[in-house]
Amino acid sequence: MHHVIIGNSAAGIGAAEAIRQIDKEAPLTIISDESESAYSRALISYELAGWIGKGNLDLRPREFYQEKNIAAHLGKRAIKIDAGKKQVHLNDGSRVDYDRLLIATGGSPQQMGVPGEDKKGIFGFRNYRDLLNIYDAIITAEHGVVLGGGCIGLQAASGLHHHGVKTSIAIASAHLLSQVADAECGDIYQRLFESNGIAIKTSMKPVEFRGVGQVGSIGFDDGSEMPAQIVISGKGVKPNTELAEGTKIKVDRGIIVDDRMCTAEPDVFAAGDVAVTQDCVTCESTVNAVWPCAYEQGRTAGFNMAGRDRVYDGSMRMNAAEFFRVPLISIGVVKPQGDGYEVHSYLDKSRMVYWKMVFKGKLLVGAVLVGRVERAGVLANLMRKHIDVSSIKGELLAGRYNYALIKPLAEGAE
Amino acid sequence: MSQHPISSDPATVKAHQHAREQNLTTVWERHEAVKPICAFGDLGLCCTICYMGPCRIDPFSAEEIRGACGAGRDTISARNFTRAVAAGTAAHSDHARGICHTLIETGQGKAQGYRVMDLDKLKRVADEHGLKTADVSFADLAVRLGQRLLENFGQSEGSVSFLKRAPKGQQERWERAGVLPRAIDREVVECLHRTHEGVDAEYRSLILQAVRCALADGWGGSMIATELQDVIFGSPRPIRSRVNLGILKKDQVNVVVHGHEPVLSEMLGVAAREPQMLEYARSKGAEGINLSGICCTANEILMRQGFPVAGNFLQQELAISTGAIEMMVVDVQCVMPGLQQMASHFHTKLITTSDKARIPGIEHVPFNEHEALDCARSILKNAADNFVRRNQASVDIPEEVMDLVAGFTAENTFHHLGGTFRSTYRPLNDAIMSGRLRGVVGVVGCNNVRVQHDYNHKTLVEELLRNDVLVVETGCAAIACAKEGWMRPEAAREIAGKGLQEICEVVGIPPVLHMGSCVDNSRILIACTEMVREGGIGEDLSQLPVAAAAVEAMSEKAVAIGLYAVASGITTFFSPAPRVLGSPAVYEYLTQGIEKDFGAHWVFEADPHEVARGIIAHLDQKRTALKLEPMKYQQPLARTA
Amino acid sequence: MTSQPRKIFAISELCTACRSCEIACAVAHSRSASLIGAILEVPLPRYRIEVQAGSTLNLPLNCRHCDEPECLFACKAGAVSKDEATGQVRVDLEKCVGCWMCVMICPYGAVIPDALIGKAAKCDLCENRAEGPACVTSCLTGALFYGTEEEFEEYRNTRPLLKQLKAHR
Ligand SMILES: Cc1cc2nc3c(=O)[nH]c(=O)nc-3n(C[C@H](O)[C@H](O)[C@H](O)COP(=O)(O)OP(=O)(O)OC[C@H]3O[C@@H](n4cnc5c(N)ncnc54)[C@H](O)[C@@H]3O)c2cc1C
Ligand code: SF4
Repeated sequence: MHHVIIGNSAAGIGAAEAIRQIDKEAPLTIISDESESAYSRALISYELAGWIGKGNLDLRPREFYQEKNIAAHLGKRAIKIDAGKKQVHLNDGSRVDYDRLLIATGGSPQQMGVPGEDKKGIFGFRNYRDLLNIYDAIITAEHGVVLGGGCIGLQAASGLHHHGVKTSIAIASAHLLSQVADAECGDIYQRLFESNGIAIKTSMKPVEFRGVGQVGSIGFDDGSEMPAQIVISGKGVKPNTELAEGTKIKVDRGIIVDDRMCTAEPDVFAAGDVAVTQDCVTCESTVNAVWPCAYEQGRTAGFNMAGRDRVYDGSMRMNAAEFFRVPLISIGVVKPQGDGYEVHSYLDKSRMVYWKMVFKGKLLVGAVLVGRVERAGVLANLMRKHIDVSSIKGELLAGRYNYALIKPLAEGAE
Repeated sequence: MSQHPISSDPATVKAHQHAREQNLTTVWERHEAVKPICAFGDLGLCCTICYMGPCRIDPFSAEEIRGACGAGRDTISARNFTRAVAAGTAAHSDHARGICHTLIETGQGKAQGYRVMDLDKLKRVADEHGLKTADVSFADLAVRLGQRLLENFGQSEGSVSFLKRAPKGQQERWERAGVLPRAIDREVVECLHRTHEGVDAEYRSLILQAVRCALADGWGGSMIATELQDVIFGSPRPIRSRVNLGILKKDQVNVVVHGHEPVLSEMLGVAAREPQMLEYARSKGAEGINLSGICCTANEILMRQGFPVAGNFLQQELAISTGAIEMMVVDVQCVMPGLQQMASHFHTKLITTSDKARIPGIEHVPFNEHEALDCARSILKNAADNFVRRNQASVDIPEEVMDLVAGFTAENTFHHLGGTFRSTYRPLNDAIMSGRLRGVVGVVGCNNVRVQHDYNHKTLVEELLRNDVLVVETGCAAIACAKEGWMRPEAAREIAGKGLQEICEVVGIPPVLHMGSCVDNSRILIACTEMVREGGIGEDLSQLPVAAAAVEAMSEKAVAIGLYAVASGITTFFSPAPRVLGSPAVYEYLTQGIEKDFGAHWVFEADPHEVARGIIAHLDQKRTALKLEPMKYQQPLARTA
Repeated sequence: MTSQPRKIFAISELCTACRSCEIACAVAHSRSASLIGAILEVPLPRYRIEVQAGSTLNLPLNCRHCDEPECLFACKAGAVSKDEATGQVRVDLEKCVGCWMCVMICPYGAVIPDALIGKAAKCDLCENRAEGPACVTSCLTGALFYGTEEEFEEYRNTRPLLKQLKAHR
């Protein structure tokens, strides 16, 4: 049984480790168009911001492939899947046969659709290559603008700032972190960034990148202009679904999979940022492009590929980060739309403590924690397992949640 | 259990082994069983004062944690500390109150067997208190002095009377800090009031009240007890005796007194020497009656009557486990309830005698001063009757025993040297000034099962002696060093530095002086005051090259003593530390800030070698400040860690 | 895994919430390894076991060293690993970046965000301590146990009073 995995990141490694947990012998091949040994793309922002040493991005030790008996084709791009012949075509012309295949190709930064987008000095922020290119550009840049105020955008801005670039963040929405949290939370971080010397402009969209060959400034829809020799786009990510072409694999935004991470094509699985899964809190089909989901989906796929039946219990929207020593965790539905939600929040501006909990009926469906994030996983557990929290709501709202409190409920739910 | 022996005293190690072989439980086993020591309590961060709690302050929390009432770590540990001082003061002072009553009843002729033995001191102290001494019978004077001193406990005006004995400078410091103790009971009460839920929350203000209370102990309760015990039972004078478990006799009726008050034990001492008692013992097949003591009661009858000492605090149960004791008579303080369990395995009769202290499962024989001698006789008879029940085959008495000379006081130590009949501190001060003696250090206090028994006392004292420091001792510390043989005059030659050796030989004293029980720490205050008065080595206690050390401290009394020593200007090395380490502010004040207020501070250091180094550095610093001559004989530290 | 892994188990009914285990843990993870030294350290050492107050019982809780360690799956820095031989879940502090993904995901809330050093603190079973886990040796009432699941079951069954206590709650 030859297992082939396209993608050498969270989902791919998750699958490889799962397969090896069950089957130490079966041939296993990993293909990736990146030439680096498995590293964490989520850490490129940490490196840029100087929070970790350079080149410390390894996700697994370099000996990983050898130790796990994995054939790694690094620096090679898969260009086509021949599901009939059970073959993957690579860009160097070679072909790899598979018995079971996992597509863990992740995503790529979305195009912004703004004129001048291809000018020099404008970067996505997705992989190690991007990071190296940004290092090059930083040397000569005086002003930098980050477009987008999500976690990645904020980290990128911290990075530019760290390198002495006069940095601003420009966002289309009315407040920072609009995807993961609300205005109160956004405000806390806005003040934090501003007090650390990073300017923040809200409610404006770029309309043009100006400059000859190299970007020099950005024009915005309100008529204003910002100087920028370096621009980082922190816009969303779109799944790398190209390989589905010419197969029976269904694509709707991402690759559609069943609860065993199998695509419509037999023996072909998909996992990670490329896959559409069911969100276990909202029950909607979506791409939850976050690391823990990617790994677990890969792991689920890996088990099923190696013959151990394993059902994926759904993904979850979540994120954790820390900026200027103020931690943030956001889980589940944090900006509820529609009826039936009950929202509680607490704000202590001076201590930069904020929390918010969203309930729907007897269930906790979302939480934002700023400043104090201890035991957040207990809340995630409540959401994932759909535990009736009506008996402990008071404790939750008082911040007195811990495992001891939910243990009887969690055990009852099992 | 730990690899190192439980004690540095071979007799104790042997007796403990013997007890273990018989499956007997002692303080060491119980201590193991209650481990770990609760860190919140140990650090002074557990508050049990009100019933909202107990509240514990997490010492590892990065955030500021407060108790339910809002008391933070400083308030909580200062309150705990203050309560310990209050309890310690209460113990010494309640003892003193009893002695006042004994003096009064002696004067009234109601106390059977007691007499006023030191008329000279009676007069002196009465004079000091402005009582008319001419044309007054000694009996009347005794009554009046007893009554006058009793006023110290509850007077509504003025302050504790012996405070006036302190050097002027220190009295001024006390006044400035507002800590002149008013009445002894009042200070104890005020400590309790202030530390009640929701009263005093300011750590410094709490500690200053603790100081006021402690001064009411050192210059109040303790001093009254010492002075009146001298009056009633006679001031001690140098006297030879023997120490350690080996003093127990296989062929005699062994009676051990244990606790703190000399009132009954003095009478037992009298009765034990009566021929008819001896006769009675013989009739029961014993060769005689062997009266000895443990803890401070031992020190009292040793100092005045030369009765041998069976051991110190941690040896109390082991004394019984020798199987050789017919009767153990206990009164108050440092009496482990565990004695009952130990005694239940032997023929040993254990009796409590103080109405303040009873132990479940133990016969209580109320001691009545009006029939003191009869009471003592009946106890001894009882003991002799018990001799026949002793199982001689299983008796195991460690052979260790050591000679000592005890009975030194502030008045008599340098008595012979003055060239006249008047005592003088000149030779002592001269020796310090000329660099023969580095200084004088009081090593006092208890045993504590948390440290190897007697080890800290011995290690510290040995290094001090080698470095020409004259050591004065009381309490269980004194017994520890006596067992080591350092209270024999010959010891000077064997262990002391050259300068100390010269002085000991000239004066004819051992290098370690036994000054008595723990209330007798007041003798050390007086001795220091005399050194100031003699002149040449400082205008104030805080300038003297002296220090105090309690390196196996165990009781709340020790905390009170430590605090009055510091507040009197004597820097004090203390371990294990009182429960203040969880509050950086309280710790800082006690070890540094307090120096500004009283001219001395605490040092909390657990390693006895470090303590020795610290004390020597402290003495040298005082010597330098006084521009005294350099030490005549350089003596490197015996051991360096 | 060939043999059963050894873990730390807790018996809630025996826990008196004295918090000795927390203190012992902090001291065991301090540089000075003594209580007095530890409370003065900067940064303060962090304990990795927490005595949690539940609605009826106290639960001394630390890392469960799970068979399916979610923290490992979630760690985007690759700082978490599971020792295949001992079953121990380890955090490599060199690699930890303090992103708190593990804090967000651990269903027990047993990974502690140590704000003072910006890294995740969690139970390491005191692997370098000869006497075994400090929390276990510190527990007065025997509420904590270190051993395999089987050994724990046996231990639990031999605890006196447990049945009565259970009935009482
Ligand atoms: C800067 C940054 C910060 C982030 N921070 C967080 C965070 O804090 N928390 C969080 O949960 N998530 C974070 N994420 C998201 C997280 O990194 C992703 O969810 C995760 O990497 C998804 O893993 P994956 O394996 O599905 O895909 P990817 O990580 O995108 O990996 C895809 C792999 O497939 C390879 N590949 C793609 N197409 C081909 C092909 N045709 N042929 C061969 N190989 C191919 C790629 O080279 C790559 O190796 C961050 C992402 C970035 C970029
Ligand atoms: S030490 Fe034992 S009893 Fe105390 S809190 Fe911890 S587990 Fe509970």
